[in-house]
Amino acid sequence: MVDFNEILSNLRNEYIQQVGKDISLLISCLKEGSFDEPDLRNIAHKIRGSAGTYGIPELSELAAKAEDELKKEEPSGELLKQIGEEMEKLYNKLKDRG
Amino acid sequence: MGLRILLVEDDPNIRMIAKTSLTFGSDNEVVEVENGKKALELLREKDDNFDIILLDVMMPEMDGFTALSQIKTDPKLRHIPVAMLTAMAQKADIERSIELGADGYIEKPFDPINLPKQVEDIYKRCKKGE
Repeated sequence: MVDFNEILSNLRNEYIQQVGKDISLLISCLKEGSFDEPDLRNIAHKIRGSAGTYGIPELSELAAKAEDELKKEEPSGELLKQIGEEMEKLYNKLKDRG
Repeated sequence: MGLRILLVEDDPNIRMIAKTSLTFGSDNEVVEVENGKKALELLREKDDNFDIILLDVMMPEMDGFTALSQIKTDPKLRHIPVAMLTAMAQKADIERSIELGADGYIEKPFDPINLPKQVEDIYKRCKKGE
């Protein structure tokens, strides 16, 4: 019989690959201070909503922090850079695990 | 008992895990659409029957609040239970959903293991209250 946890694990690996392009864009924009990328907030919002469901709450939390900061009239470039760096480390770990 | 579920969500990753969770080892059937406009088209034009609707809040074209309001003011559709998929800690969204007639809400991120029970509980509660 197929185990649901095994299915979830496979879905999670698939998810990490699926969002790879978006996460890479988000990370590079945050690190480089390119906050005018039109989809940036939307990408952060989507990752915030989906990563936790795939069992990656740390990624969801970082995306939430980025989204909240990007919503501000004057977002802190320093904080967003730090979030981008943390996200990059985490994403690399996730890819290695997969 | 299998439920016929309309899943309205713009993020394909959320649709994929929700559909897998809701159909795994059950007789549930899930139909997916990516925004409120498409959901209403399906509900009105195809006269499709659903036991429950899972409705995301933030979507392009037509958001969840607009779709919910139209469903709950349409005499042909308002009997269908609607559960809103809301981001955790968005209390204002939950309050607005209830005001507009939502029958329940499921917070995102949801646990894919518990999702089928959450949906079934909302459905059963609505059927009891009829």
